[in-house]
Amino acid sequence: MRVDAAIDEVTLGVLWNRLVAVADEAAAALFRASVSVIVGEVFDFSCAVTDRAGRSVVFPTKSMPLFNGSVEITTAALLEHIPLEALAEGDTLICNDPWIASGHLPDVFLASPIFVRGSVVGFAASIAHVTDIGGSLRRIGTQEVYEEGLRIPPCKFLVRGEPNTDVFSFIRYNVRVPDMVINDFYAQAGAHRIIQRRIAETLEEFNLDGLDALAEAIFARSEQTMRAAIRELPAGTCRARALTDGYIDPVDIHVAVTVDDGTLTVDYTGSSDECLDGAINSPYACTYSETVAMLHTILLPEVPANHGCFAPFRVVAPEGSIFNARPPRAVNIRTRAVFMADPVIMAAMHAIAPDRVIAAPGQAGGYHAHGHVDGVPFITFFMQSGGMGASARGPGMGCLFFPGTMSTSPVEIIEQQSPLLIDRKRILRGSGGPGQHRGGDGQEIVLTLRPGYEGPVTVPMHPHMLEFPAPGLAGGGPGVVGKIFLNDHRVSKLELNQRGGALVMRGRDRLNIHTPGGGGYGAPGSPPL
Amino acid sequence: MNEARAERRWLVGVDIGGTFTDLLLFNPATGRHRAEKVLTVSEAPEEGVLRAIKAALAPEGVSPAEVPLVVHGTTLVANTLLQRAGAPTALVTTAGFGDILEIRNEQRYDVYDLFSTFPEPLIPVAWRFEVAERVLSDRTVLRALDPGEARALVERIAGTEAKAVAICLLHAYANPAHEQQLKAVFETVAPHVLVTLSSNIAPMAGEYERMSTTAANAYVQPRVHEYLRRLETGLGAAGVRSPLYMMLSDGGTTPVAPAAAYPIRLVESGPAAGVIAAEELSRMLGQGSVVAFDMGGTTAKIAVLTEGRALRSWDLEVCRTHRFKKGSGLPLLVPSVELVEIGAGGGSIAHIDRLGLLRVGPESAEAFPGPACYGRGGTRPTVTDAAVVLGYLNPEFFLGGRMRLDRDRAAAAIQEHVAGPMNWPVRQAALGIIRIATAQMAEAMRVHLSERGLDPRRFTLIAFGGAGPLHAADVAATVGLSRAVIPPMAGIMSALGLLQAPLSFSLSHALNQPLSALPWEATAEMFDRLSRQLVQTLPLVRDGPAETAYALDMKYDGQKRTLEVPVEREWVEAHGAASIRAQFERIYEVFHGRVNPNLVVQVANLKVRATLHQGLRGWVSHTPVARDPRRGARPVLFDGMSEPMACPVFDRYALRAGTELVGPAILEENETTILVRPGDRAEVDRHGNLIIYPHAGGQR
Repeated sequence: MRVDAAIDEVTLGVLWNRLVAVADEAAAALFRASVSVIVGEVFDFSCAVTDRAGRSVVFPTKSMPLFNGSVEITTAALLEHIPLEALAEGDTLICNDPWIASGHLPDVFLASPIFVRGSVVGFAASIAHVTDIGGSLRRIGTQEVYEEGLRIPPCKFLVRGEPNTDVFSFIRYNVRVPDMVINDFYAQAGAHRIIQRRIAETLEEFNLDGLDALAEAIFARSEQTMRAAIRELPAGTCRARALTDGYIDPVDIHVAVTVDDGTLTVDYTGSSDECLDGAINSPYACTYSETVAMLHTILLPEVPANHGCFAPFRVVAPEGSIFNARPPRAVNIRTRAVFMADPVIMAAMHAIAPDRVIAAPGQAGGYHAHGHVDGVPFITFFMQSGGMGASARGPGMGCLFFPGTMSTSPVEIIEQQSPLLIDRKRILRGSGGPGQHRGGDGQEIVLTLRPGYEGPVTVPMHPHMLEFPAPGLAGGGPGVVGKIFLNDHRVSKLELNQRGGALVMRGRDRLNIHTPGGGGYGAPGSPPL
Repeated sequence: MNEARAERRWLVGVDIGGTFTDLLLFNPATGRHRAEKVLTVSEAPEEGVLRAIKAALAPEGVSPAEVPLVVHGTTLVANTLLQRAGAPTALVTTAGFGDILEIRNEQRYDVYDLFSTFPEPLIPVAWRFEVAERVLSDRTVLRALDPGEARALVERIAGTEAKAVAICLLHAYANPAHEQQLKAVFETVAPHVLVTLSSNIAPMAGEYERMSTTAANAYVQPRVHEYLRRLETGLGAAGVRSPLYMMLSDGGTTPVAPAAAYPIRLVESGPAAGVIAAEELSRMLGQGSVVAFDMGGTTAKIAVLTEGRALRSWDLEVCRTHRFKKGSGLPLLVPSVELVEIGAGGGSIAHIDRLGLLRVGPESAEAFPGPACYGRGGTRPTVTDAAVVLGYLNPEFFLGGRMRLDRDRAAAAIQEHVAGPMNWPVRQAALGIIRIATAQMAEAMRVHLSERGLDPRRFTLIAFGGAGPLHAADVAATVGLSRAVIPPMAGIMSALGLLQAPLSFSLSHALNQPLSALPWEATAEMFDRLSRQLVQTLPLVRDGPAETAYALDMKYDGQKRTLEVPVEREWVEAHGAASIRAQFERIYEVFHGRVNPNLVVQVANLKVRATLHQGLRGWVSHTPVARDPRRGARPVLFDGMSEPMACPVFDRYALRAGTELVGPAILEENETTILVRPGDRAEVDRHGNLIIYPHAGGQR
């Protein structure tokens, strides 16, 4: 079974490993050089090597899968604005338009052409969640994207390796911490340089003119294998539906998964319309990207992600729905739509692949805290995880992030960097859903202000699952919902929204956050699987 | 010391591994040495040590009393954690934080795995105790520890079966007073309980990693104490009067007392010893840019040396649920040699994956059943099986002829699992297995070098371990390293490293200040205090000539990872923020290619390391055995060929300095086999090292 006469199987394996190693190296460089807490602590970034058309060839082993599917959409869109012929060696393109890039403004996409012997062989690309992009700092209660910060159209960030000074000025004038933001863009461009150098070396070493033959071999091999994996599933359509917290009204998520001769379609038709008063909308590129990442994880996790893995997938979302929102809808917390859709996809697919999916994980969302201490501003970001969903294989682990690679900030570091004092961080035992296998437990964390400091500290937050819990699967029960208490008063989602998506702490206020438990699997008390 | 006496001084290095206990008896005056291998006695490891010492000394006519130095490396700590064979251990935390050990850092180590699992916490919830107290990050006490409550808590723990207790309170790295008060109560109320304080074992910010380290230290301590006591008693009874030194994970050795207080620092004792030997060889070769490559049965380990020294860090992980997935284990803040471990050893299993591509590892046939060619029931093909089929290994001379290898079983395993399914000839499949294994090691090496901005062409490979010398030339060529060096005794480098390691210990203290606001007097004072503490820990350091090295862990504000930056003590005395920042940025630029003069620089920790060179400095010269080195030829298949060619075979022990070879050639010694590929040049230097200059083509 020779895929390409020019590249035999053993060489393909060797070269593929090499490219993954190149992406890993670039990711490590980006991770370490970034000063964004969200990149450094939360791993909210990715890099990619693409072919000349922008189709993704490899991603790092450890980075945000949410970005995997959109890279080629973004690169292709950039090339429509700035054609290949207009690119020179050393150029780096930039864009954060949610409808072209990754669905919200803080995720900034950069791409640099890889020149070998004077012609473009592919692109080095990366996306990173920067510390600040101006605007409303991740508030959920925005109505239009214009409130959410600086929207950077496709343009050149670096021109032949030199800063595009007008673009730099626009960015610097619009963000709160310009040095940190520019540093992070340079961290991305630095990762691109590693990719450019390594690809050139590899092509030279293996005596190849470009990436095309290798990329085609990787795409073909991955696509064949993914189609084979899909063909193992029974043909037909399976459906699932779930309600999850919206801004005011709940979001209704409808998923229909159709398997048909080596293709798999996820159709969101029937889901809620786009939200006009809250920032929980997802542009199509983002919906597509998270959906194909979820499908790849379910069906073929051992094959490194690339364009070929995604080729057998179709993602349908009606225009104007929450999964295909139009400009200028507010999109900041678009994870409310796309991350909550993941367990619904798994619930649908349970009918055809019961051992490959898990019940819904308890997803908790993220928190900022900002204010002033002795007149000096501070800003910090932190996340607490909920419990994982249980599965046919076993119980869900307690306190684990899903679906990304996030990690938590240590209590001691939060207290060093802010006037917050954490009174308690413990597992909420029993908060995972009941079942033959129990869902993972959530946790509680209690925040206070350090004695002698009166505040105010503003805590913008976008907690998920305050109203609707993580559902169980196959007869398993739901996890316990997330809860927010301010001084023992339970703050409902509506109250939180009325307060602008942020709570303000003063004096001896206590903010108690409960993260949701994961869904259980199988009816409780049924015999062991 | 007169010569006759010097000639009777034999040093002993003894390394306990999972299967074998290796011993090297070495006479620095004459260069004579003797290696001994006995089976490890897992329930009483000291017995293997004592047996090996007796077995080695007797034939040389050496009395145990004449041994001036015994250095010991052991897997005891690593195995105790892996097998959960530690003592019942209690944990004391600040009220509200007893679950931190179980909550971990909440990160999934493999984002494409929906079913990730983690090791159970070392200390289960029933053994975790909370105490009302609170210290803040600025050292102030928010809530004092109540003496009555402290006493009640200790009495409660004393009433359990706990033999050890780990105490980890919030911000104790900044203010250890409450931890120390609790320890004092234990000493009066429950003196039989061994106490580990987080402020002592790993005084750094970040409660999960510190608590994990504290718990692990307490958990292994009773077992290590008992073992060391039995070993010292046994050595004494055998007539050995020299002090015993223990090998630590960072390549330093210490007397027994500090090792018993910080037993978790022994966790990587064996692998560190191999790196020490590579550092010593690098010094002797005058070649500071080195990749140390240690390939054994299950894994290959890589360490990068710059200026003759491997990087040290305080960032280890053990008991991974997935051996090669970082983040799936228990983190330990333990000073250690930085090693990259890859799932490519002689026993790594080859298979065809779902994509229809050939893969090697990470699954390993381990020592049992082992590769198919061992004939112990293994049926799946391994790297060693491929090497036998290709003629690289001599089935009649494995481990110096102590073991026979079965070529037919090797070929059958490759046929069934690789060649058959792919419709390839068996020998081509075997070449494919070697290519893939080589490529994996090469990728790891390349990434590790380039992450630090290092150019492979300036580096020399030093290959050792049972399987390292076989793959050395191929790996070197693939990565683009200029040459590969295979020292004499490459198969037992770790035991040699034990004897070459310096006496050394490190201590740290948390600062967590911007560089611009560093309290200079307090910092200088802390350097002094830690230096004094080191003298107390290692009394021998007082007699010098000891070296004291100072370092700061630094980062840009907002970054998670710090860099260890060596600093001069004088810079601190002169309030030299500019010198320190320049040094930080010099190192930062190596790692990241670019510095950022606009950002605030933070200082997380300060560290002091005292070192006293007392071991063997200089390399062990090899005296060739006077016999004909030629052992005829055998058919060997190399990459790019369709038929085997006759490859000359040599006896490594008989090769003289100055010998030059052009590949193909195979060199055999008892513990390892060296492959010189067609077109490679090789020479034996005056110390007996084989230096291979690989021709340009690596594995593609």
